[in-house]
Amino acid sequence: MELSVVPRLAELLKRSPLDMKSVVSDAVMRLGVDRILGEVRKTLFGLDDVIKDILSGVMVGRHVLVVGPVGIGKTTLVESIAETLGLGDPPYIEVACHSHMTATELTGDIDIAVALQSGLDHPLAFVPGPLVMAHGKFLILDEINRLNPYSQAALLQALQEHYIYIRGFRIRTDFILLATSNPVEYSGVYELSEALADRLKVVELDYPEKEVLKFVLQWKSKELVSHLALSVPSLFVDVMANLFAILSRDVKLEVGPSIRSAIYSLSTAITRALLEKREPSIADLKREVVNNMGSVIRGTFSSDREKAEYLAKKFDEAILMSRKSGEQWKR
Amino acid sequence: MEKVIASLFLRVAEILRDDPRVLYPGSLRSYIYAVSDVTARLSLGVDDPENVIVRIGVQNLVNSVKAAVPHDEKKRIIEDAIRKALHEERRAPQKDRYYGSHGLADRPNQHKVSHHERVRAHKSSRSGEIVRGVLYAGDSGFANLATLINAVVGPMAHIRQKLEALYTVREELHKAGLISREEVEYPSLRLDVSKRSVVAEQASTIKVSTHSTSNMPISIVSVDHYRPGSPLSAVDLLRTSANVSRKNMLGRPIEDRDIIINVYGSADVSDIVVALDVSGSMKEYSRGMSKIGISKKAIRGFIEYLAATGDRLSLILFNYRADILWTLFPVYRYKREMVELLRYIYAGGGTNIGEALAKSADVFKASRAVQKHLILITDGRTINADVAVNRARTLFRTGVTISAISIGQGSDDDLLKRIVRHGSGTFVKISSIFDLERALKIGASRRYM
Repeated sequence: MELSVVPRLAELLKRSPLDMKSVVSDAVMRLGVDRILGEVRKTLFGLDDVIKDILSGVMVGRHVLVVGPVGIGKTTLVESIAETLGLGDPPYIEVACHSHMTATELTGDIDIAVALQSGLDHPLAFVPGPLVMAHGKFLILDEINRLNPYSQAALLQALQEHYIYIRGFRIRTDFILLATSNPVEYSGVYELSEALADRLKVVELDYPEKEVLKFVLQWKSKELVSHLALSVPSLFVDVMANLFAILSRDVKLEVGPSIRSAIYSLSTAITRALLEKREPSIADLKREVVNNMGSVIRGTFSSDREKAEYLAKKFDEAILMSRKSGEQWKR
Repeated sequence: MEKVIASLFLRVAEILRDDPRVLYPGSLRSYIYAVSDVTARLSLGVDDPENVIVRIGVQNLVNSVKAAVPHDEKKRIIEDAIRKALHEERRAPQKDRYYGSHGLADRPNQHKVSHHERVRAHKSSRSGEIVRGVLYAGDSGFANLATLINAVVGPMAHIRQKLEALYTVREELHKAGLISREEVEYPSLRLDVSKRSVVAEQASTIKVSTHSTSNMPISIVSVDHYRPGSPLSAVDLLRTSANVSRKNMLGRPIEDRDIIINVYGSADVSDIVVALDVSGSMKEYSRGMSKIGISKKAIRGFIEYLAATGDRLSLILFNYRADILWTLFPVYRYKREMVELLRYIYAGGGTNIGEALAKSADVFKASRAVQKHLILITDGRTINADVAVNRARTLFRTGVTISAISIGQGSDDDLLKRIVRHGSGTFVKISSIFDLERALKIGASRRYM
């Protein structure tokens, strides 16, 4: 890495306040809503309303929290919005939160040894953290609910005071926070502190409608197998969408299926058949569903075997549903 | 435009404030952002303004509004409030449009009074709503006392708040027939200090231990003089009596500082979590007393026993789901509250040990003690056995030792032994439920390893 790109402490201390809501609003107005929607549609589909909800929030300087189940594109969504608005280079700073993250990891710290030897203005004397680097941009905190209370406090200070303190140095930082999180009932997560939660607008992302889902599955799985000159049978997609509908409605499950696992079930079923030099069959798909989704869904199963049997049973139900709806049945 | 929306949200705030289910109608910040956000969103183009206003309003307010109901229910309350305000807005003639902007301050005093009265009148029906809402919440299973209380205050709330919450739902518990009045009024147990030395003797218990247990005394790091609230059991008798006799000789009155209190070393102070099975099978009788009754009595004895130390105790109740009845508190200080809460525990529902382990991990997260110990009391088989073993393993990795006490014939001893093996603790199988109190102490003695 070029040392010159690392900001020096002296420059950071001279930072002036930025009005983030007008910065973002200007960017939205410059691009136009339709163009932003168009850009995001290149990677995600059927989320126009959600995108507008997020945009309206960031335009007034509100920090946004996107909540939804695993694997339905929360992170991709906020990344592509931040990418499209392009507030700087890079357009956003992303942090994958984990429970052992410390406040210093977020703010950055002064390396005493370097500072003593070469002075505070040596590029390596101060290693800035994401909270400092996100000035004038978006800060994406992935899975913010995994952030422990200590780091939440550091984040809160940056949000409310717009300053962070590093060993007595006060550095200005203005950014818009885009966070993602799983719903509250998930296990292994921290609750957001009240003061932090109060500063976040909650946009919920839910499982898509069946038609939208079918389109997404067809599109994404095709993308994955297109370099092998393969295609995805529409029957597969239909069965998969039915299975998805059945599973996401099932109250027995604590954690439902993810779109990611559905896409990979489809594409691996096809490549598996390719390896054995035959046409993909519905039995391939069944096996791959068990392989791919087994680790995603959680529920009151006493063993992995029971879970596999459950998935297989639901898969058969999905096939029946597709048959009834009159999809062409071919082996 | 913005003015209309502002008056709309002022009305929303009023509606929420008057709603008996809402504890706190939301921060000013969230309302300010809701207004500007809705304005911005409408400018981005919408097909269905009403739904958009409702949705954006909920998105901005949901984190700030506090209500004594589950999350989804809270969202619906806010949604209904915004819809109601919208309809009023639509019906109201133009001149009344902005009444809301000074309405909060200008409403006649009488309104406030009636509001308070209404809240008071609602209080009983509201606690009833909570009990009914939580108890019979679909097929998620039978709610235990901890679930019920946590619907009113947070799971990590102070034990005194929990007690207050208990009192608001107490009448309903009686009404629902979960706990009888006589049961709550049982005569207080005498603290039998001599029992504390019984730890090692076990007449009818079979003990399988992965490590040998020893019963080392707790180390005293310093002494302090008596302050109100100091545990009497920590009085250093030798020094105190020396002081008293000296004062007697000098003919001076005895003061607080003559009474010397031992201060126990924090390294030997341990955090103990007891996870108690409150599934339906605990209602069965064993020698004329229900298993749950005996467990409560035993835990009560255990609390008395711990009150002599500096240990902190937390109690988790689990049936199909687990909830924290109270999180870690020093026993000697909060003994009274603990005993009081204990009396209202009732049984019902399924068994899920995995949940109990997950919840205890939550409790231990806040613990800094060197010794962390979990005692699992269960009488039944569990669903999700694999999950339970895995969680036990992760729990042990964070420095928690796990002991299990199994009661009665129906228990899955193999599973409990597996859990204990991963948790490096003691497994105690008690043939008679009356041995539970002693078993608890054996389980706890494991912490002096």
